[in-house]
Amino acid sequence: MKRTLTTMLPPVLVLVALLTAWQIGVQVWNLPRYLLPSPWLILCSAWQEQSRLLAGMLQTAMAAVGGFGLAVFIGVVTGSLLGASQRLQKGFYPIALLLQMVPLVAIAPLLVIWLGYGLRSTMAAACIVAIFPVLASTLDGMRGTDPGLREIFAIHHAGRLARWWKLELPGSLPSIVTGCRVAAGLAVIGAVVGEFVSGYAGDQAPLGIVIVSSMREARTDLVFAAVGLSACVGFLLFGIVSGLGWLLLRRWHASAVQEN
Amino acid sequence: MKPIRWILALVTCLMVATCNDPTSAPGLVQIRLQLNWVPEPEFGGIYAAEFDGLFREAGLEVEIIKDPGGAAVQQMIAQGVCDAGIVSGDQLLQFREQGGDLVAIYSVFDHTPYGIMVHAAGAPETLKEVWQGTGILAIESGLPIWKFVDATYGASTRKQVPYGGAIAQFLSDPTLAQQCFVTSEPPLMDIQKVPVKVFSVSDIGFDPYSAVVAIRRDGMKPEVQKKFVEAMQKGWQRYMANPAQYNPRIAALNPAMAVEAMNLGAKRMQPLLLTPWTAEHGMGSMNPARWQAMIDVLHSAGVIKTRPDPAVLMQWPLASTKP
Repeated sequence: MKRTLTTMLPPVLVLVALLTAWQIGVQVWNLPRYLLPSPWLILCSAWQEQSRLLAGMLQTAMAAVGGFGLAVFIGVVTGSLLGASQRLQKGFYPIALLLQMVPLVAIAPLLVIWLGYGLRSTMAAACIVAIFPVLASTLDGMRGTDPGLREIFAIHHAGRLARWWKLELPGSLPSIVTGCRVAAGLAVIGAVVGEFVSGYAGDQAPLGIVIVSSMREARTDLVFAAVGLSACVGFLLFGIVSGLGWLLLRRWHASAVQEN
Repeated sequence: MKPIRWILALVTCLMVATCNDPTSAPGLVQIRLQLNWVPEPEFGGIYAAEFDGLFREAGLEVEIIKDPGGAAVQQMIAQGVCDAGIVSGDQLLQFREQGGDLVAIYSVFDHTPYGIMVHAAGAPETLKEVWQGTGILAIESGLPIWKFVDATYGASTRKQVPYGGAIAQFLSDPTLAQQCFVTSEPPLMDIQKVPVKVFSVSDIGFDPYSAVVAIRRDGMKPEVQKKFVEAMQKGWQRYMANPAQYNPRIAALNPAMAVEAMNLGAKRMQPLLLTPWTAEHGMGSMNPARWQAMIDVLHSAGVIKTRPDPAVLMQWPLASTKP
């Protein structure tokens, strides 16, 4: 309990100090709410629009989690394949690198044409931006496998699949977990950007749609509320990934053992 | 020279380069005018005034900035990012409720060009049937005009998706209905030889000023406003008299819209700009009673909570000569 408090207290104190300074600043300089609403006003607006915002949060979370899941699956499989063959790696890795350079805003309208409006397109957008960190970290982990252990597996005539499953994949886990942590935040950004062009509006509108429609209405308070909630989705996803990572690594890896 | 001095010299050069605008002429009043869309016939008169040097003749140096790229023009004006901008009257009203204080000095359209476009094959008979139909409806959610339609016919039963201004999705989905400016997308469809049916929102009793030139209340001296409005008026007169003369140059600024489509769009603008009101009071002038009607409609639809006096939302800089 004391340890949790020690960990949580500093960021909470910083957050409270920042919010207080923000609130005071808005009041002292009498800033108009379309320019910079106070945290209190944002909170009040979020409370008034809670059903719309929570429904939006759920939709965005679904897209982000779906896209993230896809990114992890494709990233780990592709990273493992590239890690298993130098030739594949030389041929495909530079192309995989292009994924990181893709300007999502530019291809999001194409996703609508290819996949239609709604969840499929937003999940695809989330997946595209989240896939590279997972792929790169998997590949890094595979490359870092101890050659001595590889030799032991070879002496015992272990097949490729057995070597991957029992040696390379577990050995890559710390690196994959790190990649997944980065990808978790990116997936939410990808989902929200995807929603800008492909999300359904209405009662169940995702946060991306809430943000753009609130911008048109000059409701900066709601824009902040929606952005804050999308950050919460990212934070939540990051927390879940970190928790799962800890569960997988706690018994043997230095990073998790230290946390214990 | 030490690296730090190189960096300082480079920064100084950059600062000097960004501070001095080589194109600005001495003695001219600078106005940055932010459009809310890409160059199209709906801004034809403004470009005509620019191309023909009407702004310069009036002692103004007007920089026309196209497409804000998703940023809210009303906020850009209020913050001084630009001196004037094109916004819709209903957004101006909504902005006022959020603490903004802008005033409209010129209206491009006397009647709103907003409409809903559907494929002609099997098209419904009325806007109500479109609104309550099935399929996808691509609109800019949050715009007061669609909130009014919602309040009139009930929330649309169609699946609403964002409108991005593109026509690719419309072309590929025969059930899709999308918002349009009757002067913009329908002419593009004509060029593509895709038959469409357009339902104008003004036909169902809501006819806001949908493209007004707005400024900060104290952002422009009255004599500058007068010169600015007069130059725009002359520009619009010239453009409407002969749009084909100006459209190739506007199309060069917006290659996505062909000259042919711009000519068609300009033709469709005639009844929206050249009305009995503008004939009597001058192009660009606004009727306070129309502002009042817009305020009443949006108030009863629940879009706005207060009912300001139209006089705080609009002014006519040529008041001494025209209405």
